[in-house]
Amino acid sequence: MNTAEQNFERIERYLQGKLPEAEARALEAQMAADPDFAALVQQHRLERQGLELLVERELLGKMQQWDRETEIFQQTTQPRRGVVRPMRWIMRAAAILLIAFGTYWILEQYDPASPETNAPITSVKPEIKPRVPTVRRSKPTPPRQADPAPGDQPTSDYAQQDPTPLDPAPIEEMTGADAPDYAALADDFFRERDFLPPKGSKGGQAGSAAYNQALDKFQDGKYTDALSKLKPSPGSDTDAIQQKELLALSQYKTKQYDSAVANFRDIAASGKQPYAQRAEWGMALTLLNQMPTKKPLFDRVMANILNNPQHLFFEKAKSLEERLK
Amino acid sequence: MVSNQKPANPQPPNPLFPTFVQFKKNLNSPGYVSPANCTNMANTNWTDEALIAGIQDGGSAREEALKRIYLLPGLREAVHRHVLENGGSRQDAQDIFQEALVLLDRNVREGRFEGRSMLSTYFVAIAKWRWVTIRRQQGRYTDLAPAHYDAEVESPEAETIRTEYRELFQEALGQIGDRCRQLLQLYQLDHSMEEIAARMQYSNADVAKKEAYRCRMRFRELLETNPAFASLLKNL
Repeated sequence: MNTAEQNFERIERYLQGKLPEAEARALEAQMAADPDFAALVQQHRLERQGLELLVERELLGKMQQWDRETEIFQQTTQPRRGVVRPMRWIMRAAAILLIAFGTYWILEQYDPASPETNAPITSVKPEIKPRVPTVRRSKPTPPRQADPAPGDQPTSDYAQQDPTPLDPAPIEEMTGADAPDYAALADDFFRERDFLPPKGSKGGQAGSAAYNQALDKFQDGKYTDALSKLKPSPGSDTDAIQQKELLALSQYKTKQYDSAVANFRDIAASGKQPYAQRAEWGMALTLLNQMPTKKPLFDRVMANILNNPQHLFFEKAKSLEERLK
Repeated sequence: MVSNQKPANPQPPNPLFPTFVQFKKNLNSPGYVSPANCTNMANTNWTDEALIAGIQDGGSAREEALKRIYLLPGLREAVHRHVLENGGSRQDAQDIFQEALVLLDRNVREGRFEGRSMLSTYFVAIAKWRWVTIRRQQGRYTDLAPAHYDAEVESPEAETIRTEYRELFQEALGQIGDRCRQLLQLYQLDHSMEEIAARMQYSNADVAKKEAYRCRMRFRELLETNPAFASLLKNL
C-alpha cells in the first residue's frame, strides 16, 4: 500500500470515527497546521456525502419493495383520483339499475286480470344472452412520431429505433370507466423534485441568465412564461442539455406532449447522466399522458428503464407498472 | 447508551402522535406481524436498542431493523397526518415519510442519535423538521420556529445532501459504472472488505480494498473535472 492509499485510509477511518483517539488528535493537529491537508479531509467528507446517495437510492428502492409486499401504502392512503373509485360507483349504479329493471319486468309479467295469475309463478326468468365482448381494431393509420431534432446524433436506443412505422396496438373497446385515467396517473408520478432542484437552492441557479429566469418562472408555476424564455439549444454540453430539459418540462406542463417527447428523446440520446435517465422517465410520463395511442413507444421506454435495476427511476417505473396492471 | 425512560412530563395520549408506550406496544405486539414476514428475524423483541444495533451492524440486520421501523403501525399515519394538516399533499407526505427513514438511518449509522428520546418520537421529529425545511425552501411556512417540533426530542436536524452537490454527485456516480457503484455502496455501509470480496466475488479482501480505492479515485476524478465542484470546494 503506497503513501497515498495509507493517507486515504487514515482520513476515511477518521471520518468514520474509527481512528484511535491519539491518532485522531494527531490528524486534527495536522489539519490545523496544514490548510491543504485540511482541504483534503474536507473533500473526503464531501465525497462521502455524495456516496450517501447510493445508500439513499438503495433504501428508497427497498421501501418501495416493502410497500409492494405489504400494500400498506394503499391501505393508509386514499385511492388515487379517478383511477379506482369511479369503477365502484359505476358497479353500484349498474346493480341498482339491474334490480329496478328486474322488479319492473316481474311486475309487467304479473297481470291481475289474467286467469294465469292464480297459477304459481314459474319460469318467469327472462332468457339472458351472454354478452360477447367486442374488440375494435384501429385502422392502420401512420403513427405520429415526434420528429427528431435536426443534427440529432443517434447514440441511444431511442435514437437507433427502427424508423419503420409501428403497428398501432389494438385498442380494446371500453367504456370511459374501464380505461384508467392515464393523465391522473402521470400527474401522480410527476414530481418536480425528480427533475429540478428546489426553488432557491444554489444548484438550481447554475445556468445562463435566460435559463435562470425560465427556471424561476417554471418553479412559480408560470410554464408559458418559462417557455417564452427558452430557446432550443443545438449543443450537447451540460448547459444545453439542462436548457433542453427545462424546455421539455415546460412543454410537458403546457401539454405540448409531442414536442416534450422530442426533447426528452434528444436528451436520452445524448447519454449524458443523470440527464439521460431523467429524460427517459420524463418521456415515459409524457407518453403516459398520450395513452393509449402512444402505447408501443411507452412500453419500449418503460422496458428500457425496467431492464436496468441501476436506473435512477427503476423503482418508480416498477411502481408505475404495478399501478397500470 | 440508549435510554428508554419516560419523559419527565408525560403528555396525555394523543391519537395523532401515539406515545412511546403505544408505539412500543405495537412494536412488540404479538398481533403485529410484518407482512413481508419477519419470520426470518432472529430478533423478535425489537426494542429501540435492538433497532439501533441492527442499523449500526449493517447488512441484513440493518435492512430488517429499517423495515421494522418503516412498517411500524402508527408511524406512517402520524407523519402523513402532520404533512397533510400543514399544507402538503399525499405524495408529499409519503416522500417525507421515506426521507425521514433515510435521514434516521444516516444519523443512527453515524452515531448522531444519542438515544435521549424514543426512536419513534425522533423519527416523527425528523419528518416534521424536514417538512418545515421544505416549506421554507418553497417560501412558505416561515412562521414555524424549531419550537414547533417536540420540545423533548433531541435535535432532529439531520444532514441532508446539499442540493447544489446532489446534481454533481449524481452526474459523477452515473459515470463510474455499475460495479463501482455497488462496491462503493457496500463500502459506505461499512461492510468489511472480506464481506465485500465475498459479495462482489473478488478473490480476497486485499483485491476488494484495491478496487474500492480505485473506484473512489475514479469518483474523485470525475468530481474534480467538474468546474462547479471545484468552485464549491473553494467556497467551503
